[in-house]
Amino acid sequence: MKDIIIIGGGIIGTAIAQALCKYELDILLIEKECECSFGVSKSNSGIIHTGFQSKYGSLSATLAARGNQLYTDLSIDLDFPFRRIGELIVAHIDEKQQLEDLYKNGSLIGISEMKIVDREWLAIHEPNLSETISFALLGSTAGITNPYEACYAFFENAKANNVQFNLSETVENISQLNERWEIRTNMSTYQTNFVINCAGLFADKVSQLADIECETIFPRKGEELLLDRHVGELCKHIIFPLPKPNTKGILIIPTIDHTTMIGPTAEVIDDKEDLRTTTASKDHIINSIKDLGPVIDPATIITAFSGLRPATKLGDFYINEDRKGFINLIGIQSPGLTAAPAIGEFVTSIISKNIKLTIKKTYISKRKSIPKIRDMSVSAKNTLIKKDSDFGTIICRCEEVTKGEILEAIRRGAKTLDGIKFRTRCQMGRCHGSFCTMKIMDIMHEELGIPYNEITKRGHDSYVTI
Amino acid sequence: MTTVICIICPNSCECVVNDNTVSGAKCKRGVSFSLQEVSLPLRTVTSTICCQLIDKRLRIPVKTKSSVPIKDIPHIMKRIKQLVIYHKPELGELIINKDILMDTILIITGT
Amino acid sequence: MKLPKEVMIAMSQYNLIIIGGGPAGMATAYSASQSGLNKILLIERLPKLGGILNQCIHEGFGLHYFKKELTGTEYSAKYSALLEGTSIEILTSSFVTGISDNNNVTYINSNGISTVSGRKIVLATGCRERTREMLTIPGTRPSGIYTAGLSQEMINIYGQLPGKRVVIVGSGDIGLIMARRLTLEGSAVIFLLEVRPTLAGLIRNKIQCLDDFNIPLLCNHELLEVYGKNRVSGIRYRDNTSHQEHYIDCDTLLFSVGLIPENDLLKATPSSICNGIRLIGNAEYVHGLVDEATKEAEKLGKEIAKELIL
Repeated sequence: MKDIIIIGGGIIGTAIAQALCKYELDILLIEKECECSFGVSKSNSGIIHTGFQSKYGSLSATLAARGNQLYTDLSIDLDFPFRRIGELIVAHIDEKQQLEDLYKNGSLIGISEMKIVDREWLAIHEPNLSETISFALLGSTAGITNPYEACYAFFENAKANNVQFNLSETVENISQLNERWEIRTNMSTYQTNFVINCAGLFADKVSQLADIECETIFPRKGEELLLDRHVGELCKHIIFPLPKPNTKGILIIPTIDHTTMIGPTAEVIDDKEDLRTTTASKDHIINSIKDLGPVIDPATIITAFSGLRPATKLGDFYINEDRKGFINLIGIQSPGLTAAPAIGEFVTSIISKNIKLTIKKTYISKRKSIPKIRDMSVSAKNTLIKKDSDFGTIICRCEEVTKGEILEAIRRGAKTLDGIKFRTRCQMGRCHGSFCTMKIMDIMHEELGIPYNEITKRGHDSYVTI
Repeated sequence: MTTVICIICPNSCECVVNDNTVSGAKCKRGVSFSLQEVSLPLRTVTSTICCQLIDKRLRIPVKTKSSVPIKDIPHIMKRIKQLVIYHKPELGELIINKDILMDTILIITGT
Repeated sequence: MKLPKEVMIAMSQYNLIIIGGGPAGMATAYSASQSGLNKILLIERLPKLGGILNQCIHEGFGLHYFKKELTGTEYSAKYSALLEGTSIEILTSSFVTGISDNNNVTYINSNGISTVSGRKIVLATGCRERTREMLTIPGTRPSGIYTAGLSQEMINIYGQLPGKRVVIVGSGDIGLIMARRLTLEGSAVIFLLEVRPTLAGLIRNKIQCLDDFNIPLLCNHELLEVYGKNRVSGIRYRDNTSHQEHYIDCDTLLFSVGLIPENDLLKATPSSICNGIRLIGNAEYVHGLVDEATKEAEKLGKEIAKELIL
């Protein structure tokens, strides 16, 4: 008998697990993929929004604004990277009114550190932007993080505080038994007082399993392009065009790793597993960026990838205890990463109305990240290598990732090539793993004791060799 | 009359074989290659063999000591695949194993 | 006061530092040493000298330099044997992370971070393969898509097969070599797709790698889209002569669509000293034959020795 079962191990599920793990609760998280962050969260752009693009009064505005604030302490306690670099919503000469409306919306939400800047300011601070851009709304509280690391930080901290994670397990049926819920999966059957449904793209399906009606999820595909490290950062701030009804538009995103990402597109599709990339999207992104100023040399694009947003017709987050003990989280798309810690708080407050929450005596509030050799000082590198010489063996030459980092990722739960990539950046560089894939597999083979042909890229039948 | 492209070196001479005379080859090796190629084409097979040591298993590169008819390559490959050696070989070492390799002799090409 | 380790090592001065212990790096070091230069340091990132030659178990090496048909592995072994008995200092399993002012070369290995400085620096870091991502081929991003070189490492070094039904995109030499290698190991190579009208690699490789095994090469054919959720399940391609599109099932896609000199270290090096750094081998431009890379590198080694000894 569990107190709480969380369905879905993306950024939302892990953030909720992390928020709840400080209390005396028996929590189980069920994720259908073989690692956390392999669903919607996999393709997140890593932006921590101010919140002013969401409409005042909406749940997403409130939670994004609150989530943004929480990231400062969280990133310190859980040791994941976060930098408040600020964002700029740019506008042409005749569009100033829209910026003022956004500013007003932000003020109503209670967002601080906003101002409208002019061409002169832009010329100094963002010289790569087109001269046709006359004004911009600067939101200084916006930041960037590594979305995988945030998710794995939540996961590791929750795990350290005894949250049980059942990965590669699919929920097949949910039924209500008196005051309890019974969840049947492809592996087992569990009983619980609370169900938290944060199954991302499949949250509507999970809700249906419990016979609870909810908004239908219409996946909206977003394609993004990652530029070579040598291009550097095209802009200092995250650059947004003026938002359109369904999307924040095509952005220039400085990543936490000092590279540049451009995109995403927004395309409503039917298939919840359609992650294809297209030439049309690539061209659309490059053209849209040209309107902002920078001209992208296609030869500097090192990869194109796409993700799906779990959008609904409601156009806002839906979080509610739809039945006693059953909390639905539907349509948690952008700004979901930003809001995640606040969603954790929000769900905790719902639970606390039903269960008296007491803080664990053994609660571990801190987590240390995997050391990143490339970013360390010479003396710190030497200290670490002296302690463990594996940190002196470079495996991924493009991103300078060491054997020590890969082993550490495996020890913290990585069991696929993507799991190692998302935790360490190994294979994320310009050679796309042509030099390091076999070397990583060799380490996995040794450390996990599994044959090469059982190693997968991302679980299921994504085998690398036969 | 048969035309063969010599594969001895990257020059890729187009050699014309007429009865037992060869024209178009820039060197002697091209002549003998062309004559052989029209009667029974021969190739060196390169592959790897399994080397099982106490603490680890390695792949060791090998080649056939002499070139073999193309049609025999699949059989030879089958035999090479079955072979396991239990010592760390020297470069150039000959691997003779009548049971598995029959008459094929392998040369260790790397360690 | 005891100096930190990295400061002590920073005092190590070399006449010549060569980054990369493949054929070009070895040849530069060897000929500079034979020309009388001392204090030469050769830094290799892998545990063994030889670079990519060590996964080239096929023949096609050494005909010019050693006057003998050798496999890549034999060429590597023969050339690295020349270095034995010279005064060249060799550091393996050591990765250069940067070159900075005063010709300081910083590397990392299991002993820590060290900095050495050289009067001359040569970059012999080889090349890397163009990937599917660089061509931005539309479609899904499943497992089963590799560069030809990665598949070579899989099979020849680790004894693992990338897949059962393989399509090779491009007709570069590594692609041709791998078509044969996969066939010998029991995989079905369906065909090679070449977008250009003619073969990209050497004709001798087409004859002994494709024709010997009846593997079709489709020129003027272009890959359009990749299918498959977790593992490649098929591709859509177009015959650019007839403009007809086709689909075929396969579980593996290998790319052999060109090589790019790997000189990324230079891009992060201060421009003031960049001009003094020499590129050699495939890091300078992609060579057809290793023998040529060796010859040019030996010439460079000689020149550098002459320049520094005077």
